[in-house]
Amino acid sequence: MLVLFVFLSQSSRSEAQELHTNKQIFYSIAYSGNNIWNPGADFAYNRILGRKDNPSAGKSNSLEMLWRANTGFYLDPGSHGALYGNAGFGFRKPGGRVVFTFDLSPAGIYRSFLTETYLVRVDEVGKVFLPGNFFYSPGAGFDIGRKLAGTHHSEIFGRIQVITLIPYNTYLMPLIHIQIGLRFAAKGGKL
Amino acid sequence: MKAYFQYLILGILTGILFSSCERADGNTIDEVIHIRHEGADMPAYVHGNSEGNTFLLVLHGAGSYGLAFRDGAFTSELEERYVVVYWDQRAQGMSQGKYEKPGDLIGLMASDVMALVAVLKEKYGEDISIFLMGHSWGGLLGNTVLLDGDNQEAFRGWIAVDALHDVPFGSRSRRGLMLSIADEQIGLGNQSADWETLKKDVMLLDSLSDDDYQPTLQYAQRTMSLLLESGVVAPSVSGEKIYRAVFDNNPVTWLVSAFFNQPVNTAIEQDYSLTSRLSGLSLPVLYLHGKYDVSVPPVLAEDAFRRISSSDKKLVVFEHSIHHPHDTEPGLFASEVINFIERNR
Repeated sequence: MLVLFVFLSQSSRSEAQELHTNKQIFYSIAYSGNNIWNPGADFAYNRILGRKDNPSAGKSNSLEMLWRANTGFYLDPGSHGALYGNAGFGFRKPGGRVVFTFDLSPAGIYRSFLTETYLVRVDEVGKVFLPGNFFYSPGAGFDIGRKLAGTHHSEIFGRIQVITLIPYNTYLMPLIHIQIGLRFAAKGGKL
Repeated sequence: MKAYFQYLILGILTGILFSSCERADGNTIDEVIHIRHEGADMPAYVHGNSEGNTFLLVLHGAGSYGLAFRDGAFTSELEERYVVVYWDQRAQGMSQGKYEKPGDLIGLMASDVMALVAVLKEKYGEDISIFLMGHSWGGLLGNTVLLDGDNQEAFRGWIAVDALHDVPFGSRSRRGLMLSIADEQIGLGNQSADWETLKKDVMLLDSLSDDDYQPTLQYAQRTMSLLLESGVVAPSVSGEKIYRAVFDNNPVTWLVSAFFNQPVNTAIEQDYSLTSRLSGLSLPVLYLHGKYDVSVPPVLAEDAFRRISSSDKKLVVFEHSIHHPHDTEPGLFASEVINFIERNR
């Protein structure tokens, strides 16, 4: 909310800039490789909260602020699988055909799923039901998209997303997701 | 939407199930299990021939991971005869969980080993024979396990590979070994100028000084490089090992875990030593050690060999190895391990 407040107050101060508040919604779906080669998928919901135009510099200098939520999974074969979800704010620079997006997700949760697991307590051994661990998992992402030729409502994009599991063992663990996917506007919308 | 979500969960769980299920191949075990103990979930990669009910439990070295051993002698010889359990220790490799940093880390890790033994017996039967193998730091951990209470009774034998049992003794011994290697190589005429330079620098070190600890390790690294350049020892890194490190293992998770958690540093801070207690070892023991190991000098194996009270004990020095004889002389390594296990299982 603080980021949104700063964004809106900066917009209102500048006479040369115009603030638009269309509520455009778009979705994305991507192949998501955990540490590149562990296969997975990621789904995201984006809602544009506002756009700041700078008419003197042309359309390529506009900046959109968006709310973003995503969920995904991956499988690290032979070790574990995981589900995760994040939510936060981002900035998008639509410009021409190439689009840049940066986002921060302070809210995040991650659940690992382990293979057959045995709990050992003193001398007792028992199997664990749905073994794995929950972690708090804030994250950040950056992507470069390119509008598909002949359309204003879809893009392909490449993205790097880092989420950090806290606490992991006694400290933390970053996870790197390399993604490639398709982004498309909700019905009737434009990107 | 709810149905799609259910399919998603089902797909993930099925994938995990397939990746962990036992291979339907008679006596072959090929699976990954986890051991949950005191806040940690630690994977054990269980592979090999279960026909003889003989299990070899491998304790990896500092900053390493269980699957680092799964190539060469282990896959071509040992897994053909026995079940090999490659285990990621607490906060190492792919181990995960949440817990406070323990006060007695080494003691806790030793109890993790016994938790793994309890799981192996629960899953594969009380009648299985378990041999413990420890490499380097894993040797210190294994010795700690075996010297605690009646833990020796759980194992048929102990295989100490370039194993540590006394951290200060290990540190003190490096300088002398580097000088003797330098003298040997100068005598043989191998890159004499380089060895002369190294010898001159190493002679300036004080093996008892804490200030010279890091420089000693740097010269140890230089010693290993010269031995490799001279062809005295073979490289220990194979293509298969790199494949295991990058694809079977998750390199980011492994390296970050190793960055934050180095149990061997705890042992160094504590000047950890088991020398005075080694006479308590009475089970069959096989010491395997590289002649040129400047990380854990072979004099430690000779010292431990003299001190233990086991009646069945053997020390084998690998003439062309540094710290990883299982990689550099896999044939001899496998035959010694097989002979030892066959004699004691």
